[in-house]
Amino acid sequence: MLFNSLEFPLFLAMVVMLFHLVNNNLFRQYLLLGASLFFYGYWKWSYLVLLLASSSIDYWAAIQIGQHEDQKKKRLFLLLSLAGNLSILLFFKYGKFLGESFFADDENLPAWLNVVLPVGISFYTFQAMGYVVDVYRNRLPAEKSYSSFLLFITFFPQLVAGPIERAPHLLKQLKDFKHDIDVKWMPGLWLMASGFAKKLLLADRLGVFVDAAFNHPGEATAPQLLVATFFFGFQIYCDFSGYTDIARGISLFFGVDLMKNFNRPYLSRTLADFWRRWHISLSGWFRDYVYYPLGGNREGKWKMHFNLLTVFALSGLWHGANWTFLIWGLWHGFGLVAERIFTGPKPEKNPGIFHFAITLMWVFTGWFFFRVNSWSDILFFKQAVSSASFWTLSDFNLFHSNSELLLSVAGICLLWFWEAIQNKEWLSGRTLSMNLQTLFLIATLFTVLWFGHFKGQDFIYFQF
Amino acid sequence: MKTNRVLIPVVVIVALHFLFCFWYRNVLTSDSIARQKESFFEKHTSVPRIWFFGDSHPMLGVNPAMLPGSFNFAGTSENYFLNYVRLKQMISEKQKPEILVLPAELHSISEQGNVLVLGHELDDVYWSDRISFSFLSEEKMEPSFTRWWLSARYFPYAGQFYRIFSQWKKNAYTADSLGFISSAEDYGSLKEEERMASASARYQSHFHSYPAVDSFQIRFLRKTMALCKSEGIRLIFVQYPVTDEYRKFCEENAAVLKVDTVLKNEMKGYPVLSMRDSFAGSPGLFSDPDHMNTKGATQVSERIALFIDSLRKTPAVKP
Repeated sequence: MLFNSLEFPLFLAMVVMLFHLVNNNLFRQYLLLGASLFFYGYWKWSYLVLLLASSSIDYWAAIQIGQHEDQKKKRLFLLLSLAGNLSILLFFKYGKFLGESFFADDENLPAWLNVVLPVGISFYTFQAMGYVVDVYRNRLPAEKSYSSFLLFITFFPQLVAGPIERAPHLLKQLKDFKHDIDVKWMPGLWLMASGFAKKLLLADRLGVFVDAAFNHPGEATAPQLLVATFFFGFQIYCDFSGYTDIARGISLFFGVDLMKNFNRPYLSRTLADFWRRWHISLSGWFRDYVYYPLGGNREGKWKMHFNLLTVFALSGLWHGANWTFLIWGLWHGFGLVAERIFTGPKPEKNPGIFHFAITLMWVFTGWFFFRVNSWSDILFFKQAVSSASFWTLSDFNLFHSNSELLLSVAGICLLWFWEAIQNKEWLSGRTLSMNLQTLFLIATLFTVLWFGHFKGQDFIYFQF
Repeated sequence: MKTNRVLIPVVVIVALHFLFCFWYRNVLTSDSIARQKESFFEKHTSVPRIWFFGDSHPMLGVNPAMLPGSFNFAGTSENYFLNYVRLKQMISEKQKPEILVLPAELHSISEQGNVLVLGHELDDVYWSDRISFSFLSEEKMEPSFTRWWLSARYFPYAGQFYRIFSQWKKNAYTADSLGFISSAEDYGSLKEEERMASASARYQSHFHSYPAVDSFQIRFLRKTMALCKSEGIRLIFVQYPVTDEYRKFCEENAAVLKVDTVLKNEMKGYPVLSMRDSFAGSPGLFSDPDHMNTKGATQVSERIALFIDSLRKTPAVKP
């Protein structure tokens, strides 16, 4: 089920209503669990089995780790859980890609490799793996209640596109639904409104132009691609952070506070700063479960650079089985290594406007590799660069209508401006009265309704 | 106090919603082609015998003044699905023609038809009012159409901001009392390279992003045929003229040419008047690469009138 589908408001209204009608912890837990399974199964019931199977293995492995004192046995169960999760991920996410590389073309590909990618598989497997590793590291006890654990993995607001939560933060909240839980209605509504505004006003609108340029490489000109790449940077930001805002807003209706996944990333002054602000839950996951175990920055400069490149290559591949994602990951990895070499280990101490410009250029160039459909498209564009017609401005047809272009550019400027002033002292201390907040909320609702782009596009990160 | 904090905003939202619905339905979209034509049709004291349905080709190409007892319902991008919706609804209101004329163009069964409907590009209010829940279930419509219908019916203004601004622009099309829309444009006055560019743009808009053969449109063409058969309506097809430039682009695409084979098969047994090549070398009769201007519409209408006359002399064959 999509957050921006017609069915979802009805589903959400029913769940929220039932949740607040019955003041019983167990009922609320089972209600949310049932709703989460329905939410996922509504897309494809058969893949619910996969979700339940992989979660059950992790639940069992964590219990075994908790019960055994012997370190070797603990490690064995950890490896079993990791192998289970990674093989599911490998088969469903990378099986087709590896098969195509092995069999050379699609036609010879065995039918069993031609499977549909389960929505949100990268998110829920990473969340489960993080939990099992935390239990192994004695950071938290293994969860005894199967339903609580299952709810932690499947909690519907964040099931299909994160944020990838940590058990110590989320599990505790999902076990304790007492009647006096702190439900923040107004902040929740605001987060939802902001998420839908980002998605429907901006992301889907920009997507029309981005798709037109990147999906027809033979027809796109260089100026079009440049603008499309810039637009894509905002499309993916609004799409993904919009989803996270909606997820966080919905969770607040149940008294659950999900982690922040984005923190105004396009105001970053360095690349390292960017990665502390972009997809924070995934960056943190790779830092804690890959970068630190590899040695982090403790084993010398060159090992640290190697570790950074490894983490970013894996982060690229996490997004999907495509060479373009690997290139994107390595692009950022090399960028960070270069930043460390040129500006020292703490480059963000003296960032200026120059750093800001370089960082943005690096990030947006990276988006080109991320969005391009295939390696062959990159080669095609590389060849086209030398052709004069590629640089023509005569066919510079930006949008099918000027009003769409105007709305898109205005939306980007407004978003950037709002994020730039958000933390200013003169603004951050002020709170609007409840009446004004309600008024703005209603105005936002109707602005989204009138000006939104309602073509039912999926959220981009669903495919990861 | 707490109840008021929830109740007042809810009442405001509901009130604004209904206000916007009313404004959108009765002001912003009130002069759409479909609604203009319907209001003219309703003024007729006796039901016209010959009805023209279809897209912009019959809309600009058929002047009912030259075909006594006829009415031109055709409107931009009205495809076989919408033709069926209209016919079924009018039959339910006890109105039906003796002869129904449908177009059979190279893009008549393209996927573009449903993309435009689902994309809320047409007059959602008009079309969704002609569809009911029972229609959706009887016709086993896909879930995407149910979603389209629900949003078109209950949130018609969603995503339609541009209609606010279009109010200040002059309506591009105004129909006469018989449903004819005339165009004074002269495609022949363009230079050759301008004609080629224009034809290329038209061709691209029809076939670039959409498969030329779509089973959905064929399904509703067949349903229309069955409905006409059961109601005793004589169904005939017309292939409207296109310019040499436009035809040239189409002939280069095998997928587009396949449309003719598919349509030929579907129309087996039905009278077909093909004029696609009939105005070759006469760009002055067109308003653009595939639409007639007023002069061209006169000639097309004359030919259709003769064709229908000739049919009257021969009994209808059972398809």
